[in-house]
Amino acid sequence: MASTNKCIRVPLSPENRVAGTRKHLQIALQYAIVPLTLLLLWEAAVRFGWVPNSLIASPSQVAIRLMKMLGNLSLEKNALVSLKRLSVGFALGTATGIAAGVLVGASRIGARMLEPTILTLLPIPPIAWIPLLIILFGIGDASKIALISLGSFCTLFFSTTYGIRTADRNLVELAQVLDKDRRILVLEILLPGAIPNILSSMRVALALSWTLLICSEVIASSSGLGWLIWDARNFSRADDMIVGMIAVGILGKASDWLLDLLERRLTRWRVAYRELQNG
Amino acid sequence: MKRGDIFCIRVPRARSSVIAAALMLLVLTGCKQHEQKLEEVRFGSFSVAVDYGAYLVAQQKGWFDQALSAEGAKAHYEMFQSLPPINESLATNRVDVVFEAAPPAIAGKSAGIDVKIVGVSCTVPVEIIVPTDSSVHRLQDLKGKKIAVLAGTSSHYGLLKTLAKVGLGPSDFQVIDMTPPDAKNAFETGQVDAWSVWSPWIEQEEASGKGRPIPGGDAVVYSIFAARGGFIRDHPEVMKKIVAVMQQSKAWVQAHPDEAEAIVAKQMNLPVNIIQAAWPKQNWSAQINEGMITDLQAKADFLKQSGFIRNPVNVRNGFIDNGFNQ
Amino acid sequence: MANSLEVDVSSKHFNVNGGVLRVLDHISFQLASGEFVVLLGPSGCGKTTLIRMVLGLDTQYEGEIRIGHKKVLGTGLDRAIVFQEPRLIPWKSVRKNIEFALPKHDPQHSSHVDDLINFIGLQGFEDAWPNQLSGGMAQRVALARALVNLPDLLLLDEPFGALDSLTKIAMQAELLRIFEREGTTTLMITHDIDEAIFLADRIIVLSARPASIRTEIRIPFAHPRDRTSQDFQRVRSELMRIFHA
Repeated sequence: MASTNKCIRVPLSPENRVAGTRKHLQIALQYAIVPLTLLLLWEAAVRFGWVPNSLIASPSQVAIRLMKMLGNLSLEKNALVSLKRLSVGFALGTATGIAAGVLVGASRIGARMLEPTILTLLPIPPIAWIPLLIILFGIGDASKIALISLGSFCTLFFSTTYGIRTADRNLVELAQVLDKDRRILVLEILLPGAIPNILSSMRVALALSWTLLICSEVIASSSGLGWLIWDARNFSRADDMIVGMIAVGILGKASDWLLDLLERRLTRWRVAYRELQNG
Repeated sequence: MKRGDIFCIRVPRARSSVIAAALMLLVLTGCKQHEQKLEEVRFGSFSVAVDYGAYLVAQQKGWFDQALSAEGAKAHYEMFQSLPPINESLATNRVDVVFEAAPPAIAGKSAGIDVKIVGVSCTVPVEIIVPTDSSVHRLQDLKGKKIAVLAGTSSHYGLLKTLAKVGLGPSDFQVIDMTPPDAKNAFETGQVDAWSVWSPWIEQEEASGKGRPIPGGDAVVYSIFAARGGFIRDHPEVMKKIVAVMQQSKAWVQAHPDEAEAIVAKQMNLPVNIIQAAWPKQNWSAQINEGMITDLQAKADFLKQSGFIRNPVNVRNGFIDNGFNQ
Repeated sequence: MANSLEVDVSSKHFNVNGGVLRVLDHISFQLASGEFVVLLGPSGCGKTTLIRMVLGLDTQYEGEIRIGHKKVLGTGLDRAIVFQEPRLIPWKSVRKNIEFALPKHDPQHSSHVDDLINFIGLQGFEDAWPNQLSGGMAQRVALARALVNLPDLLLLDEPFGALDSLTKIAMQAELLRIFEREGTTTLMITHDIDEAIFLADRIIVLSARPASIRTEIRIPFAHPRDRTSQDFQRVRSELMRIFHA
């Protein structure tokens, strides 16, 4: 006799099995229908000459070229160069932006000293800095990393300051009552409280970093995905250009996914819900 | 939902609406602009260069407008800051006649754009400049150096050819791909050791005392003008008139160099002494001939071998049309 | 005595919109060491302001507050408070929240903290996030946090005001149990008459703003008190009468 707690597996009847598979098929189709249609339209547009093939390559041409570039490692090499510039710039800008945000958000003296200058420079779009950065840092990796850092700095500074300034007053008072010094207040209450703001603005900063990376690789570069796209455009190599764009898109999505994982990990305390009502 | 439906939409209806959408797209994008009457001829040129001198004079004196007025058409002039928009405009029928050097036209042809070279403005030698106080005095001294040049131009080809002649292969120096304005910055702040570029950029650095050319090298830029294949087919008479204007202008600038220099200086918004320094280097008597065709084929081969262009180009196969010069 | 409280405030006011708002008027009372005193008064009368002054968060008033005969000049770990909201740090576990109150991280203290967690009945929840706790459980953690430094004076500002009646009654019993074990001098604010009678050794009744002391009532009954007993109801009627007077 089976105990009352045991789960009994009921084998699927043939009709149920078919129904389950059809459900999966339906869902798969709902995901795939728009991309597939776009791909078909795109292929047709190039094949039938609706768009000039000299400027736009068809999906099949792009696929062939993609395989070739993966095979001779040229795509991987350029991707690595770009990723290196991106990660250094993003990390640098994020770290300095958070640090400046803490200084300005948690300290009135810090705010008085730093905020007017930073707020004046903040609205200048990073791209406008390019000529000055090239003069200061040269035409190598340094100016590209500087540009990316600038973009990340502005984004993170803004959100960190905001996150700290909108900290829960109740918790600040708690720290006061518990005789905690300024350092503990910042490290254990203000900064962790601003983490949700910081993390979501990191994802914005990452997207901006990709844009700035590509822009910077158009000037005085001989490697990287931005250079690949630019060079391909220069010589009307339409398939190379789209392969470059696809590579950027995929890597951009992957990097965002990594940040998403980080965000989830660091904000588990938010998601946890009331499980037990124990009074 | 009945059996056989896939996503809760009746399949037949979905199919017919997709067909309707496709038809609409065909109608909208496949429509060719069939011009019975020519209203405007759109000219384009790339960047700032003294070798467009004859073109600039013809513009200023209104000779293009004169020639076109008989057709009831006007001339429209545009300057492109970078190379890609030129080919893109040719491919999408947004420009008719372009003034550039040969390599961009070759790249366009390789990508399948219907473009033909119909004349040459002038030839001018490729020059490499270094900072005035540089330790580089001969071409060989460029070993291991950083050289700025716009990739895929005659200057690029000329640089590689010139240095190959003195035994320096592509791995012996570093090419930094930059447009002239960016390269000017980099050159003047010492971030590159040399710069391969054309007039008036060269003379500007010389005049300001910031650079000097290195002697040597016999690479030549052919400053050509090319036309969209469709334009030639639709309006051959107009094409002939435009080519005639260019011949006339070239003859005129050779006969009146001082006046020509003044006009060009004004059009380019540069001091006259810069134009005067550059003028002797431009050979306005150049014409399409066997020498040019051979040189262009060499450039096409170089672009293919270096992997810049995907498809090889045979310049003798429908790329150069000398018919309007006869 | 080290754990006594003396409050001797002649006046406390705020400057609001160019005018002066008087919130306390001649408040003077003492707590002997180990006493449980409840301040009972209507909403907005100034009870919370008074608590903040005892805590040392507010030092602008006319008068003096002394703990163990020493004047209160600012905040200190000799006093602890449980607020109406638990005010747990959302990104710290239950254990870490309690440890946060400790002045320095000392491995010796970990067994003390374990002890406390067991005592308040939350064993097994050491690593839970505050978000996962019910209101009552969170307040218990706040209580443990207040007690971890063995304060001379425990302050409670309407600690059960946000809980439902059943939980409230359970928490009052909890508080009593803790008080009987620790014996900490306790000053509690509430506007719940039943709660005051259930817990207090003495009830100080405050008037509406500006608060002054209307009367003091001693509650000599033994713990735990039966809410349905005649003694309880008698005190209750008396207090109700005072409030409606």
